[in-house]
This record gives sequence, C-alpha cells and structure tokens, in this order.
Amino acid sequence: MTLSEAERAESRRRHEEQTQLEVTRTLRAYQREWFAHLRREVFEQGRPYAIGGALVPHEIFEALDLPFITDVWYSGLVAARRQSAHYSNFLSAQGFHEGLSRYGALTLAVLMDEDNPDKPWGGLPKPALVVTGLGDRSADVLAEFSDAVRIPLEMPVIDRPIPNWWEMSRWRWEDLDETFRIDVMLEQFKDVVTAAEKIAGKKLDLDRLREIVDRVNQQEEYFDEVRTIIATSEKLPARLGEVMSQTMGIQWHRGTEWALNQARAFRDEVKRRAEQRLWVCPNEQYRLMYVGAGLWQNLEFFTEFEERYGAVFVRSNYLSIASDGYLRYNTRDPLRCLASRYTAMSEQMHIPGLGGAWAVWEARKHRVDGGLSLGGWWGQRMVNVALEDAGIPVMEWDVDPVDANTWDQDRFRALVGDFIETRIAR
Amino acid sequence: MLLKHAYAARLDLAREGHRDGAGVVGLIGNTIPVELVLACGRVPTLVTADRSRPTPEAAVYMEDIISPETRALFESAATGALEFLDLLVLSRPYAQLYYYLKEVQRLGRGRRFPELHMFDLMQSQREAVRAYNWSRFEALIARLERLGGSEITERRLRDAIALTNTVRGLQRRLIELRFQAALSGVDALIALGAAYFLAPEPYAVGLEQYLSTLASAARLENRPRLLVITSEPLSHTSLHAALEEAGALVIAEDDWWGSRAPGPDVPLAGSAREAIFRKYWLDTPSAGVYPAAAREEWLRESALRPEVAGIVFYLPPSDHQLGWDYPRLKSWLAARDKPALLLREDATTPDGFSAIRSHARRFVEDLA
Repeated sequence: MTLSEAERAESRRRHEEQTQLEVTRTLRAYQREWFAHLRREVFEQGRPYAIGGALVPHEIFEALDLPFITDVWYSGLVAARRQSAHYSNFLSAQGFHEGLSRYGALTLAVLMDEDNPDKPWGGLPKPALVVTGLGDRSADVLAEFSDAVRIPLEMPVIDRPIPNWWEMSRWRWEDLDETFRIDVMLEQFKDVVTAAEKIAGKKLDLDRLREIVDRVNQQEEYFDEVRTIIATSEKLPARLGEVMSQTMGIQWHRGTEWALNQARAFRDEVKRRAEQRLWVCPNEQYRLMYVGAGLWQNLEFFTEFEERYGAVFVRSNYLSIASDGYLRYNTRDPLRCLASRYTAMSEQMHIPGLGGAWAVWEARKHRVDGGLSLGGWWGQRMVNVALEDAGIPVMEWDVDPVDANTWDQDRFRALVGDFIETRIAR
Repeated sequence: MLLKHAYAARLDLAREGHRDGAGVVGLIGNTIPVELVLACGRVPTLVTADRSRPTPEAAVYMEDIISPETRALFESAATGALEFLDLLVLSRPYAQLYYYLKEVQRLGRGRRFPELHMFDLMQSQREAVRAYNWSRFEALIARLERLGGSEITERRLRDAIALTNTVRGLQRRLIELRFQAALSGVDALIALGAAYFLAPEPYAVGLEQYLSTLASAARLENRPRLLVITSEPLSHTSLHAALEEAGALVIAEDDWWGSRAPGPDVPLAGSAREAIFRKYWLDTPSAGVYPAAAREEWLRESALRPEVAGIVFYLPPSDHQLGWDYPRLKSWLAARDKPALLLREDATTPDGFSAIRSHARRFVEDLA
C-alpha cells in the first residue's frame, strides 16, 4: 500500500491533530532540514557519508565529521510514510524473497529503486561506508550496489549472563561486559576508525570523541529522567508514539549539540506536562507496555484504545534502553567505553534470562497491567514467559513492525480489543 | 553397511558407546575441533536435529523465526535425550540455542541437562577477531583438560590430527568420484555424514571398503549432474532424494554434510594447536565466513566444473540470509551459462518433497 498525495496529506493532518508535544514538531522540522543538508553536501559537493546499523558506534563518525544515517531509522521513516509495502514489493521483484527481513532493508530498496522519484525526503545518495552486523547480508548487497567499503561487526557470545545487568552497565561495565569481550569489539572498532578516517580524510581525535561520548551520556540522562517521569506520574503525560519517535530521532543524532538540546527540551516538556497534569488520556484505566519492537508502521493505531478502554501505552524498549543500555560512565578511554556498550547492545533485550528480567523490572517500575509483544524477534517468548510468570498478561502479536503488507486493521483492532477485555479489564 | 547404520543410528551409536563405558562429548555444529576431544580421551559425536518429531517443549519457549533445526535440538536437550553426554559443546551458529538452554536449565524447567560449553569461534577472516578466537580456543582446551583430568599435549594432538587427516583424505577421494557419477547424492551424503557419528578409525575402515566397491560400480550416466547450494545444513537426505527421483544426480553440495566436509588436511608441521586453530577458523565452511569471496570460493570453483550441468538453490522457509545472495549468485552463474533452479519448499515435509520433485522434473527436462 502506497499512499496517494491526497491520502498522505490527510495522514499528515491527522498526525498533526494528534500531536501533543511541541518537540515532535521541532524534530520533524530538523529532520527535513538535515536530510536536505545531507543531500546538498553529498550530491552537490560530493561529500562522502556512511550508513550504519542501529548497533554501531555513530559517535566515531560524529567525531570525524562524517555524515551518517541509520538503516533501521530510515526504514522507520519509509514505514511511517506508508511506503514500506511498495519497497518491500520492490525487493521481492529484485529476487529477494519475502521471508527476508525488511526491517533495515528498506534503505537498500530506496537506493536500488532509482527510477522512483517519490522517496522520503528526496531519497538517499549512495554511501561510501556501510557498517552493520556481520549477519546482515542485506548490508552486503547495499555496499556492493553502492561500491562502498563494508565493515561488518560481530558480537561475542555472553558466557555468564548476569540477569540484573542494568544495575552494572553504567559504572561497572568492565566487569559486566568482561575484558576479553570488550577487547574483541574494540579491535573491530579500530577497523571502523581506520576505514572512516580514510573516507573522512582526517585522523580521529580521541579528546573530541570523549567530549561526544560525554555529551551522549548527558543526553541519555535526560531520557532517563523522562522515563522516571512517565513511570512515576499519576497518569501518562506523553503519548508513546511521540515518545518513541522523539527518542529515536534524537538517538540517531546523538553526540551533537542539537541532540543534547532537543533531549533537554523533550525532558522539559514532558516534565511540564506532568506538573500541569496534562494527561494523554484523563480517563486512564489501564497501562500497557510494548515488549520488543514498536509498531512503527502505524504509531497512531493505539489512540482509539484510549477512548474505548482508557488504555494507554506507557513503555517501550526505545526509551528504556537509552539509559540502561547506552549510558557508560568513566570515559577516560572513549573507544573502549563504546566497545563495552556494543558487546551486548540489544542482545540483552533478547537473551533468555536477561530480556525477561529487564522486562519484568520495567513493567513493575511503570506499573503496567499488560504487554503487547510484536512478533518476529528471537527471545520474545522467554520474555513473555517471564512477564506472565510475574502476573503480567502478554499478547503475542504476529505483525511486522514496518512492513505494511502484514497489516490488517479490522482484525488487529478486534485482537487488541479482545486482549484488553479478557485479560486486562477482568 | 557400517556407514549406513551409523548415519541412521546417530546419537544411538554414542549412547551404546556410553553404555559400554566410553565418555562421550556432544558437538553441535561443524566448527568445533574434534581433534581436541579425541586428544582428551573422549569420543566426539555430532548432535543433530531429529526433524521427524514434534517439538512441543520448544514451542513453549521459542519463536517461529527460530529454525526448525534449532527447535529440534532444543527439544532433544530439554527432554533429557542428551543427559548421557559428559559435555555438550555448542558452536557460534548455535549461540541462540545455548542461551535458551541455559535459561531453561536455570529455571529448572527441563529434564537433566549435560554440562554446556559455548565455543564462540568467529568465522570472519579478519585479524580483529584473532585474539578473541584464540582465547576461546584455549578456553575449550582448558575445559576438556578438566574433563579428561590431564593435559592435552602436542603429542596427543598430533595423533588426533593423523587420524582425522586419514579420514579427510578418504573423503576427498569419495567427493572426486561423485563428479564421475560413481554414486548417488543420497549415498554420498550418507557415506560422508557417517563420519560425524563414528570414531575415526572404524569410519576410515568402513569408508575405504566402500570406496573399493565404487571403483568397479556402474556409473550413473545420462542424468544431469547438479550442484546444490543450501541455506541450512543438510542433515537429511530428503532434498537429494527428491532431486534424484526427478531424474537428476547430485554430485556436490556447498555444505559441511557433503562436499565441504573434509577440506584440506591439517598441517602436521609446526605447532599442532596453531594448525588446528587455523583449520577451524580459516578453513571450515559456515554461514558466518566473511568476506563473501572466502565463503564462496569453493562454490565458484566447483560450479564451473564442466561436469556440473545446473545449480540448485535450496532456500527453505527458514532462510534468513542466503536469499540476500541469491540474485547476485544467480546472475553470476547465468553469465557463465550455468542454469539455476530456486527451491523455497521444505524438503523434509511430504508436501515440500513432492513440490520439489515436480520443480526438479521440469528443470531436468530443460537441462536435457
């Protein structure tokens, strides 16, 4: 399903109508301007840029003034523009079967679909560098198509999982992530630095990198405050779709002054709303959480459940991992600090034992009554088992976060409604 | 006969050995050095998935995206079928299985598990991972030394290498005979796969005997000869059976259950530890091999051999990776006049089997 211009205008109008946070507007304006700037610099001035996965130390690129975008973020933008079905079908037509994940690959599709002028923010130029996980073969295709340098990253297996990892991650990361595991990430990051330096035409300044990592820490602290406000306020002060978009929109620019200022503005606005008791749903009855990925292809879907049941979504991985996964203090060796962050980034939400313990801790902190678990990621069922064991009902929902081909509005409305009626509102 | 029995009996063979007093170490995956297990005085055996059985335990804890192979392996471990093993070593491609097993074990929900050891050898051929891989290799040696109660010496390793190199040499002879149409693909998979369930000495004797019968056997002429590229390990003969029932002859497959089983010998000159390490890191096929040029080197050489009439891409529903390479590889083959057939069904299901047989019949006709 690709929207016509009229449908897109209607979608924008509806989105605008439901927007509660001023920072949502400033974020959109910045993103538009940033993309235009990227295209100007790359197309008109021939400046190289990088595409990275979500689990990549963007701070290195930032320190080298090498522009970069994140593949899953861009996929999210394509999905939010309701163009994921078109690009998913485009990939199928190129011979990439439907069973292959489209989550990060929509970026590849936009690049390959060269004749289509209707692309989010004018589309993407070809990157000079591609850095994602080693198992991500769509990134291999992307790099080959773009004639870009490809650096794959491999995470070491965790031999001694520590269930309450989030209590150690900020200060005791050398113990949590173990020296030999950090070392192997560090060695790989040195390869990233070498490749990025060559493309950027300058050497990495470690003092500058440290400043950036410190700035990221400050930004994540603001996110941590937002999480605490949402978890402890009487009712929900900011709609989850906006919180998720804000969090990720800032995360992809982390390390910049803009990101830090935007995070502060975000914290200020959510705090003010909570102090002024401006609730998303004044009739709030039930609090739900996302377990795993968010429904990027239709963030507005849940708004109707506020009216029908007084049900609000209060928690997602995106905001919570910002503080529990990203924060690393003691930045004397900033590259090592980053290596520690990525020894298990995201994996700690999947690995049986780690993901479940965190989800239960988060659920209690946010006082949730139930969870929605979007399908398609490994470790999901063990997390659901842990939540159910803790008395928190979970609905397992087999829908792709970005691929609109998997969407069935009526069926999903009935499914979620039934879950709320039979398992939450008992 | 011995080879067929071993291939069919699999873990039962190790169980028999265990009842007779042998200590058995189970291995999941092909990137774990069997030489280390032999050198610690234990019998190595590959632990494979029994895809014919339902997996109700796995369904409780694992998602649909987890491959049927991993779910079946989980089922075996969680239901106590592996309890007799002294140690179960898992390789990096099975890291998720390791995490699931550890957690179910921690929760006390499965039956008795064997001791688990994760051998996390990264297969990418980059200096950046060398030190990490070496540390994991040494950790495995230390774990096996604790199990065996004595040091794994260079001498013991050399003895083990000599045994496995003998096996490799015989397997390479069999693999070459396949290009001469001396045996069916099904028989080849059985003869090669039996090595994972037998100790090297009896396997070498059995394979040598089998090779001697092939020298004078009638050739399977007039069948288009195919090479198979697969996205999941071929621990079964279903795919080959379907293709051969359709009139083809499978003479090679890019898979460690078949043509990629032996590779070159482990060098006996220099440090045995270093030689084994390099063999399993840099010269053992797996989906994790990087860069693609290294992963596809064998394929590009073998596919262009004149004996190969066509290529079969086997990408069953569990595929999440090879599908990204498929259009590129298909174009490369087309440019070299090598026809290709894409199969998306699961050969281990009755419907999948018959669909594959139908697709293959048409392909065989086209090739003819």
